[in-house]
Amino acid sequence: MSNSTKQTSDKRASVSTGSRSDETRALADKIKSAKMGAGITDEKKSESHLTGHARAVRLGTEFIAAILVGFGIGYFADLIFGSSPWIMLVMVLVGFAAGVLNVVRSANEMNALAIITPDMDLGPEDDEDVDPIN
Amino acid sequence: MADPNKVDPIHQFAITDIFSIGGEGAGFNIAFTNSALFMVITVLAISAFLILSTGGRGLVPGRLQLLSEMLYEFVANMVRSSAGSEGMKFFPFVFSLFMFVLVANLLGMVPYFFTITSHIIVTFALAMLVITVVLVYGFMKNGLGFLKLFVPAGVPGYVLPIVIPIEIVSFLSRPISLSVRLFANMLAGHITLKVFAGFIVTLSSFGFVGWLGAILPFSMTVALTALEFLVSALQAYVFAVLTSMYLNDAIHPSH
Repeated sequence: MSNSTKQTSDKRASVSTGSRSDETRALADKIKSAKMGAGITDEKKSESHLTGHARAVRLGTEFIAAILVGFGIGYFADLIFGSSPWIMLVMVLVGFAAGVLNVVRSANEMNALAIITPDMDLGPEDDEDVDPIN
Repeated sequence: MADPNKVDPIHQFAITDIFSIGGEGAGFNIAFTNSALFMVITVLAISAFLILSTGGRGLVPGRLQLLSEMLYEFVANMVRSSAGSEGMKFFPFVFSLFMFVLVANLLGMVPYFFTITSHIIVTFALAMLVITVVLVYGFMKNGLGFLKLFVPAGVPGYVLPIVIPIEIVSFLSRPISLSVRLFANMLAGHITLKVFAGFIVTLSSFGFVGWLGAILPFSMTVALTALEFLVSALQAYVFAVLTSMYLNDAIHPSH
């Protein structure tokens, strides 16, 4: 019973939007063009507005945390197996690699989210000839 | 703090017991500390704000209702964009974490208030909660297929013995980096603020010239206070974004 009333109310809502849709669409287009003119985009760029400081702290902690975890695993494995310091040395190196991986991943995320405008200088093109001496 | 030459910037992080249950003879001792008090205040403030602001249920929202609706939409968009619409089942979790960290950080900016997120054990507990949810849900939903998270696609078999430990360490480093980032930002910010504010007190004990010189650290303190408000909101946001990204790994383990 309640289901059928819900359906009819949904239908009524769709009908009312249908009769008004041209008007609303025109309004939406107007808003969109006004926003474009003002340089505002609707797209969600979740991390693009982070400050440089926040990005630096993020990369730094990602790197350090992996090394600490590697060190910790190796240290306790050495305590258990009595093989000090060999597992720790290996795991610190693994942690270093994982830290680099973390940094590369978060840098890729930041790059993917960055807003690139035509006036930005992104360095030389790949196919551009750059004389390494001069 | 009364002696101008003994400004102690660490004192604000001291944990004191307000009252305790049990004691020496009882064999257990449960203390209600100032940290616990501010956690309770944080939760009460969030609940009171959300219940009171949405109590009117106006079709046309008032100012406060609009504020809580904006908070809802902000977190909902964040969860949807990082974890997809499937991730919306974790919306209450991410929203609670975001609001808790945000309000705790902002309450810490009030003079004489205790900043609970400046203690690593608090932020580490929050991060472990996130990782536990990721692990439990990942194994519940994908079974052993969740382990594919540690095996990147398209890697030849002979490098897997090197890649898998690296991926595992990278995964285990997430709770550490999540908690250290929040804790370090709050701790460092509050210490810097206290040190610069302490310069004002120390300098002003040198008489008139000291008063003139104290203008410099005073303007620095004003600027740092604004920066700290920014950092408070930003770190809550980063915590919530990373939470929803890690939840995304639990929902879709193959990257």
